[in-house]
Amino acid sequence: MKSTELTAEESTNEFAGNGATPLIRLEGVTKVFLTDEVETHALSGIHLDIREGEYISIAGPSGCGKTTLLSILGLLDTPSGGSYALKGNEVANLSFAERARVRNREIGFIFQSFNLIGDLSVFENVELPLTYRGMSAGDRKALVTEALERVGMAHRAKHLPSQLSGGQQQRVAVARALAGRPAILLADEPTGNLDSRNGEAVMSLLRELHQGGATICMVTHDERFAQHADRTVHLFDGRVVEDRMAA
Amino acid sequence: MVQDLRFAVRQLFKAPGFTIAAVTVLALGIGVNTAVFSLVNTLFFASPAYGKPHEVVQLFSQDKKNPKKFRGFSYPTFLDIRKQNTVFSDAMSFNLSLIGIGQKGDTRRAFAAIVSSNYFSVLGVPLARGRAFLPEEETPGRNARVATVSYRYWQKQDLDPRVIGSQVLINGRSFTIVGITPKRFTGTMQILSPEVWLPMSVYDQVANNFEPQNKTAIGDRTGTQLRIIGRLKPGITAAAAKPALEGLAANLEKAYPVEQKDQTFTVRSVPTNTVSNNPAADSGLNAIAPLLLGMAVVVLLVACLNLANMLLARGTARRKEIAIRLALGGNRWRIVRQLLTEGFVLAVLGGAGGLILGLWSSDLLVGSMRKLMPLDIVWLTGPSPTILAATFGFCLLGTLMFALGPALKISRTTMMTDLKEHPGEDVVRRRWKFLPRNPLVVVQIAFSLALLTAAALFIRGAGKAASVDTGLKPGASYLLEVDASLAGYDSKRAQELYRNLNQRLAALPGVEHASISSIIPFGMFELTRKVQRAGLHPGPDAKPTTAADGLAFETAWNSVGADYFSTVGLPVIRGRVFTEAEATQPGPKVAIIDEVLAKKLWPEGDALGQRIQYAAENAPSAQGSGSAHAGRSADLSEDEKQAETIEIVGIVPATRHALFEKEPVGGIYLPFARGFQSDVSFFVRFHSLAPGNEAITADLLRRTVRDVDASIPVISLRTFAQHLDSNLDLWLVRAGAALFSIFGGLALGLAIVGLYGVKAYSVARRTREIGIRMALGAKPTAVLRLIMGEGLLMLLSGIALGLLLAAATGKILSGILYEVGAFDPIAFTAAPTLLAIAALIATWLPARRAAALNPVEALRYE
Repeated sequence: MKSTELTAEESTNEFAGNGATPLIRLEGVTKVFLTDEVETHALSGIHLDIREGEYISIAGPSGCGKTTLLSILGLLDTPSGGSYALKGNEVANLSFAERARVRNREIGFIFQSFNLIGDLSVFENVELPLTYRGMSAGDRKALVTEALERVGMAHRAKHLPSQLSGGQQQRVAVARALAGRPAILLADEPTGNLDSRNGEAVMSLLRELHQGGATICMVTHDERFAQHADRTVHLFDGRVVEDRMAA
Repeated sequence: MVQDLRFAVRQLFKAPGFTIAAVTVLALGIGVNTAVFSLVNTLFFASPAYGKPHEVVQLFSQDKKNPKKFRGFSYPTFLDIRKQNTVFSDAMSFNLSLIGIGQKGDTRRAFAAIVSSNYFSVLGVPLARGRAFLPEEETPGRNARVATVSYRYWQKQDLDPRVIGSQVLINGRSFTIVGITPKRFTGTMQILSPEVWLPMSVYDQVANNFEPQNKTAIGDRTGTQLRIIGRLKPGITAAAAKPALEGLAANLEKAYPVEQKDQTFTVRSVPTNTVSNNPAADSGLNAIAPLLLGMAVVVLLVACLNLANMLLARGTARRKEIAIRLALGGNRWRIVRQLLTEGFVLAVLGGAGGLILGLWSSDLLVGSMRKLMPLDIVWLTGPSPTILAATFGFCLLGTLMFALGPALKISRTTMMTDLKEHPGEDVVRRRWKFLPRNPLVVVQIAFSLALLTAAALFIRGAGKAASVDTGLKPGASYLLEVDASLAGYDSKRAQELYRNLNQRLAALPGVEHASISSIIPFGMFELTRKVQRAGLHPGPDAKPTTAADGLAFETAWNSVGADYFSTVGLPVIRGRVFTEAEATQPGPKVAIIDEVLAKKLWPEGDALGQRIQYAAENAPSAQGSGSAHAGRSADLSEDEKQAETIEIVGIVPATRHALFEKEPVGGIYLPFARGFQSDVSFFVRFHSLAPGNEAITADLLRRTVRDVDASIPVISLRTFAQHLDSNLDLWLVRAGAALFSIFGGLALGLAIVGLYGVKAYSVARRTREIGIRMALGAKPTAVLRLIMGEGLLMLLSGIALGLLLAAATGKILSGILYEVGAFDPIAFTAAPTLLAIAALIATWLPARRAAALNPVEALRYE
């Protein structure tokens, strides 16, 4: 287990990863929220391995801890206990700035409400995570164009999000998530704000990406969409109650 | 409309924080405008406190050959004009004079108007109590010792009705009070009022050397002491009166070819802030009115921009509400009306606060003026209908300035988008992203910088004025001002008294030197005289170009004691000082001049031992050699009229005579015995002054005066440093600095609050966006950079625009700045630096909050 005090240089090297260890390993992860002196156990002893190239869905009823788990996986939040190793490196207790760095390089987010920035164009939205990486403009352009082409949105690069349909916005969000070639795509109810036709289209896109080698972890409460994944983990009251591979 | 009002009030109650902030901002903006308007209106626009002012005009005597030259009237000329004119229903004459009013065994200095008996009837002013002067009380020589006092004088006597008929001691003589002026009456000026009105018959006894022309007796036709004010007959305008008055002037010139030579008459409106022979005397002051109002309006503009921002931000949050209203069938005008009503309610609340603030601050300003002005200031506190109307006008103007733009913008909503919109999302497309996000804040910053730079220019001027070098080194000196004429002394007795007093002062323990001086540098009065080389008398049409040809030079004049130069620390460069005999008794005509005058009169040679003479009033003189200060040309005494020559016995360094002196004018010193003035000051130079002993020293000096004669009024007693500090010109410079600092400070405060508000609101609105950015890998420093960068762009744009505005402002102000360039580099560096520091702090606070956001919570934010 690596130390939590990784320097930027070390972390770049350490996060190179190797095929032998799981991409993500959670061991006994807990998350406790304290509100008005009342402890709420959102996650209780989660053990979870996600291997490279896997397509996993996390399912469960509302309030079971799916989004909390995804926040921890995405390094948006820190666990109250347990360990979280990404590419074999402990990341649970990294500093705020280090977590931002790892998030930028290793994780791609797809949100339920798309979360595109309203006054940035499609191109600029996709480009945004790459700008935080300090990449040159030329490299950024190449990656953004490639990502937009992969999701079929290259022709709308100059549009604003408000000029797109919900399905198109989510495809742009997917492009933004994968533009930086992250180790894993985390999708939080990616079809939640879409009609069934657009929802199916986005699921097809994720399937396509998975087939291209992407590791995807998707939170959904919709059984139909959960079935798109190779593996489904069921949560209930903050615990993993079922972990099964697709038939 | 009532429904709109009710809803507007409810909306404002629902957002108390916003309402309090908005009302405070408006109260500041409107308050400044109310204060300035109240002052400017009273000084420049308010109707004078006399009846039918449109009929009242001042008559001016103008030199036909030199139309820029005006003079006053003699009493006989006044009588002729009053009798022979065909345009006035009546005309009165008056002049102001400094008097000493006896008060509990002491005497204080005050201004009196010496007036013809019809003064109050021409002005259409009924007295509050008592009677006006009788015609026989006007006749020269009658010496009718009656007086009318001001309402404020009466107030000081607790409005005792027994004041009528009581005695008042004026210049050591007892006068019977026969009348009291009405409460608001201030004479012919606006807020500056004489304290006492005296009949013309006492002119020769009361008028003092404050006006050198007073040396001419009131019955003498050559005099120019009086101002004439007439009431035009109904239906006659000033223009229509012109031919008749010119005809009258021509007739008088024929009748009195010497006294009325080249004089014609013209009428103009009565100057409201000066008593002068020159109709343009008010023009300098009048130019300040639009400047002050302009600066105040800029503060209101900054406040309104601030509020417009707040309303826009609030309107963005209310987009959904407005979309619902539109969806329910409300038309755009109805929405605009609703938003304007909300704005108007805010403006009225702010206006009420502003009114209180404005009246309070104008009272404060007038209070500070009262301490320095020799005239009584009649200032009515409380709102007048005009002030109320103006404040209401500012409310309406403010409403249009801050509410109309946002109302039009907010009502131009895309209904369906807004109905679907998440409240936290910002979908506004910015076409030119390199431009600042909020142009209103940029404009606010720009205007604030302009005002701040103006304040910095004035502060620089005030700093320079406060540290100005007079050229004198009087050490630990006290200045003791007395006027024996106020105690009824004639010049001969007064000279004797002053000699005695000088000796006693010099003999006091700890006193190093003591000397009399008729003029004090940086004092209230200054005398100038024209001098030229002796023996030269160029004719009036001659155009001498050099001193050798007879060119005369206007120069500062003073008469001093033998020990004056040692007392004030002015070393004699060449020659000698006056002897005790020269200083106290009329003897050989000698003078000491300063280097500047010496250089002007004998550019190539040595002035010492040479002889000079006073030049005639119309003698050609060097252009630009006159003082910038409002000195008055001393007339020639009988001795001087004989053009006897004066020997230069000493040369001293040049000194500065007044604060607004642009270049050294040169100075001439005469022995006091050859230049008697009744109003004099004694420099009393101590070896040292122990701190804390000021009261003891002042008491010692007062006792010394009382020992000589208890009736002699001590007009003022202070150290030389205190004298400089209380200079009226310095007060003007400081008042300008204070006023512009208030404008600048308010504008800076409003702009910074505006910038902070916009950034804080922006961070709040963009919480979700910041969360997204963090989720995508933005580090806290990147978020900090993002918000600071946007703030910096606004700041730099504002500063760039503001510097242009500041340059224009500096140019406009350059005429009234004290020894500071319009583009003074220190002011133009300090103001933007101060603004930038304040603005960066205002941006950093919300930026820091943004950088510390928890991304999970930020993403959940709606």
